[in-house]
Amino acid sequence: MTEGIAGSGIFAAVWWTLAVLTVACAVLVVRLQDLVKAAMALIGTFLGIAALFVMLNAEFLAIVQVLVYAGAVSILLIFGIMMIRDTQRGSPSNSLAVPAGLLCAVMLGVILFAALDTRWDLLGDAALSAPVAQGAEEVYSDSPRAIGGLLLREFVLPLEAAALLLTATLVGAIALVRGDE
Amino acid sequence: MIGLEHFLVLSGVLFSIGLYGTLTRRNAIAVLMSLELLFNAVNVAVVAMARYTTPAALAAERLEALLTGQVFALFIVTVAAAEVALGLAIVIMMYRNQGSVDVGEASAMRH
Repeated sequence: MTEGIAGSGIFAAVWWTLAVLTVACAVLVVRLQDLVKAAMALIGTFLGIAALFVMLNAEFLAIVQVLVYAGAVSILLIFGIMMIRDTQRGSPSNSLAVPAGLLCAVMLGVILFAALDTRWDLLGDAALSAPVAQGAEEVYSDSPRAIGGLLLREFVLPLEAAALLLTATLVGAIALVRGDE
Repeated sequence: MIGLEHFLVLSGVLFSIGLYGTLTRRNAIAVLMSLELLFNAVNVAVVAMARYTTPAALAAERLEALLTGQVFALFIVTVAAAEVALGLAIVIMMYRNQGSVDVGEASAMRH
């Protein structure tokens, strides 16, 4: 796999830059009072995560992330913000700020403990035999084809369920907003 | 050297920030935006797991299994898009019915 790049200092530098930018944008999403600016920060988070997907050999997913999140979802949200006028005065946090902060700190602690204390069964390149490593390289370099194969074989039932979900959502959203005139 | 733990910690930080936003924001659209942060944090964790850990199928030489995490993430993206579309429809209806999108005042969906 791309261990040569993944092990280099440039990879680490790019990763840290992206991580800091993504987390900073996420904090802005949660804290900014002006919701239009918060939506812009949200787009920044989406793009940062798309770049992280590229670093994880998930280029197809990165493109989907940009198309669906940075494109469609954020446009929907900004559209909603602009349709609803009273969002301009912002969104002060409610009385739950302190307990919610505590809860999130505890949550973060648990996640950090689980992530750092577990002995992960890592995919070390040394452990892979040469043909397996080369096969993995091929799967990653042609991932849209492999993802399509997975979707139409192992995951065909979830795929149909997702199609049904999207149809139901479309009908539901139209029925809700249209009202009963 | 960047490894699985780095991505998992980043995912946990994003998840906690999103959870804080979901719990403290008053505006319903801001709550929806924080929810999107939660979905994205989970996606990062799932894809990182798929990239760095050994699936059992890899030993059986079924290499497409390396991409299972990416397929999971695709489904999460689909569900999140559906969720935001429906959520926004509900918010707009709420705004029509009671003239405000404060989740604190939305104890009754009935008009």
